[in-house]
Amino acid sequence: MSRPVNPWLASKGLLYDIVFQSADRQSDAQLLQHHEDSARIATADWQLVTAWMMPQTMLHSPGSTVMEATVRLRQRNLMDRLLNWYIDAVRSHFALHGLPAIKNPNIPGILSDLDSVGNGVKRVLATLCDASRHYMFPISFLYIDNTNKVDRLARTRFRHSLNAMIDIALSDHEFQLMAHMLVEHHLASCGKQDDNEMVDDQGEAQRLAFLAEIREQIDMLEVQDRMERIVAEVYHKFMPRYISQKYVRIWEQERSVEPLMVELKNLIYGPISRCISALIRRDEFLEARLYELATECLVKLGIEEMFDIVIYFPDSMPALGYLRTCLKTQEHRAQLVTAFQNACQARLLHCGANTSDIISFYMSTIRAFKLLEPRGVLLDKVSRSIRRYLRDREDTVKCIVNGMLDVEDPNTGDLSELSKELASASSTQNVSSADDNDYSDMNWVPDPVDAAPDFRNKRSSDFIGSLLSLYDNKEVFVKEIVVVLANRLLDLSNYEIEREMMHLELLKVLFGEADLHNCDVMVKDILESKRVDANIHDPTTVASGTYPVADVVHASMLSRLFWPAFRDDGLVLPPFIEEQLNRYSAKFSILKSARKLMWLKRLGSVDVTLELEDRTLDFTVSPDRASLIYLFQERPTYTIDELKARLSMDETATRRAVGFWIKNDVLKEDETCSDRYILLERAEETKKKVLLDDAAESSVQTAEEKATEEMRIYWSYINGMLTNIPALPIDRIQSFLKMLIPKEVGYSRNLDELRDFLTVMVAEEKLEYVSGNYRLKK
Amino acid sequence: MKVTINRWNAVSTWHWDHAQEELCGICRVAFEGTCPTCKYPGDDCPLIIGECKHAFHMHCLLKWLTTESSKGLCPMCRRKFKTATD
Repeated sequence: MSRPVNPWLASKGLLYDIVFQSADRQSDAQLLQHHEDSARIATADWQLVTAWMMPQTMLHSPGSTVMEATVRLRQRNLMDRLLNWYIDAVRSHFALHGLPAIKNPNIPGILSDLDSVGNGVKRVLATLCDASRHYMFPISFLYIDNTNKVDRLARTRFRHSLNAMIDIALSDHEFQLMAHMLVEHHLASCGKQDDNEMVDDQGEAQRLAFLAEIREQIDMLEVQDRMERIVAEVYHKFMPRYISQKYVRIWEQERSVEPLMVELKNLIYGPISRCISALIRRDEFLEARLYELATECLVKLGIEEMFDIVIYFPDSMPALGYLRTCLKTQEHRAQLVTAFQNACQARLLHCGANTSDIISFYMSTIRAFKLLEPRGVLLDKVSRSIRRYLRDREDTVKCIVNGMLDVEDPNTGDLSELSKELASASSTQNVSSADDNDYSDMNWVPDPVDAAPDFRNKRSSDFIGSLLSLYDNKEVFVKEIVVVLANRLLDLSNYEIEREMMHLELLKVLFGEADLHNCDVMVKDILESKRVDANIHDPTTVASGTYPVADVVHASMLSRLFWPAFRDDGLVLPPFIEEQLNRYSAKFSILKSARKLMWLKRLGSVDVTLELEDRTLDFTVSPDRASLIYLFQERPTYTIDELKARLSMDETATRRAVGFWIKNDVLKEDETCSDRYILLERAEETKKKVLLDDAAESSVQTAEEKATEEMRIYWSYINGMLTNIPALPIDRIQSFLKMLIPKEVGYSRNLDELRDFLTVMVAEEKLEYVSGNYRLKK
Repeated sequence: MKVTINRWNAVSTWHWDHAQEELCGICRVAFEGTCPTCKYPGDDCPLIIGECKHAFHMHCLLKWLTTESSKGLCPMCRRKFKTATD
């Protein structure tokens, strides 16, 4: 039955066979004649009707003859066939005439101009409307009976095939392009609108009217689905672009960002919604869906920008604001964590970054993420990698302690924020010790599902606490604090220690009184020294047999067991000073019976004035530098060996002291004889000098040196072990030590400390390190 | 050239001068440290030296002398403990 029937076959008389195909079975001889007659009539009717139906330029209503022929065809059950024929006819006609008509020869030209794009779209749609009206025309006469099931079915069938043709026409690439551009253009003008709302009111009305026209055509063609798809596609592309354009680095834009979400909502519920619902069918959730998509874009933007948000914190608060509102799903949270961690790895946690920068970044991270999510689950996740990295940095402790004590050190950078935080935090800290095991808390909620298994709700945004918990015990900090404080106290020149006392009190709150006992003694030593010093210089106390001490000499008297170990390698001071120091200790022994002083001659500070022929210079220097320049009063040149001998210093220290004076244009190296230095009585224009760097040297042993010193008690064990077994890797040594050393001595060093110590031993040539194993050097 | 020293801040450590040993015989802490009850060394926790030349933290020795079993003897040499007079 589905053999194609086409006009050409019919016109050639072959129709006869085809028409009677269904009747073949009734090939009764009696009926044959009758059939031949009626067949002839049928062929005539068929030709009449199809000639009228053929698509043509002018439409005219069917004459009575056509209608009568149709009635006869209907009696013969040929209407189905007629429809099939007509559908085919329409198809060929559309392919031949319709499709070329909607092709626009000037596509590139049109695409460059938005107005002509709009018109282009409209023209295509209009052509299709025309065509469909034309093609529907005969159907509306022939298949008109609503009560007849066949007629209704036929109409639907024709409509379907017509829709299929239109659909094919619209899926044309060029039309798609134009439609996309049109919709995009309208959305974009909605986006622009909020800038100058008043001016654009009229423009919007125009645009909406235009869209309404298109909508009419679309409804007529019944291609709303296609249009909806186009709108959706465009919106999905448009929104991310709009968001990232408008909200990127929002803190850098000079506009009020406060009502950001409101603005976005207004835009979507206002112009964009109007524009879209002018174009497609809408339901009650349209705006909600559009808005959801926009917030999704915002979250993506925020996730990408999180690293910068932290860097620019607190300026970047507005960005945090929107991220906080939109960040709801687990998926986004996970993305945020991953993206942030990756950014950290790429941009921060490498050896090019200063430790102080990492620490201040960490502090910003804590603050920003606490704002984002007060519970701290995200913070806990993102800070893990930062914390792990900080633990591995050698100078982390030093940076933190310097920051807390507000020490200015060019090597560690500025973290004075920490000391401010310390001052403000200590007043509140004790109050807010939230306990997780408060069983009577009726507002308790479980941790979010993405919390790590070992997640603990840490102190609220207290980053000193977070920094201190970097390490398992606070001991490392205490050690470092003792060293830093000792250096600070020794650098003082007039016993003024108010600031140090204040810092110390704050630190005690953090670390507890007992751990900082040494620091207490150190501070008290300085206070006591001030008292004793005043007493020694008091002229009324001069006892018989002693001489008064010159006013220039002052001293700090320290309780040596409570201070870090000192570096003091001896030094020959100017005779005048040596004499004064002897008098000083004599007076001390009278003041404090049964006690004597031992001088640490390298430590302390000296204010000197150099009077040269053409200039006078003031310096505050270390004793070795002062002693060295003092020697040049006797004669203007010395060799390095002479200086070494006179000062009884080693070569490195001597050169460093000389370097200081060369840098300050007081000495210069003799050009004719190296290692010989000349005093510059008159300043010279000197050429560029290459010098040792003048790093301020700590006067006390650092924590690492101390640790190594303390490790030496284990040397005999290691020595014995390596005598029995010639070569051992480090982890074997570690486990042996843990096993062998008796409880009274105790061994609690970790692998890193052991490695440091063994490295020192290798440097001292007691050990050899060969292919991963340590062995005794023979 | 003339070098004028305006101020010389020297650093020193103090020591007890006549202790023969480093550690207190009673509490086994260095003399320059403190006895177990004291917080600050030096004036707050002085030494005491007997005629037998044995030195202790004063607080340690006084505590020892108050115990029954001490019988007023020096814990090191078991002679009668008397404070040196010089």
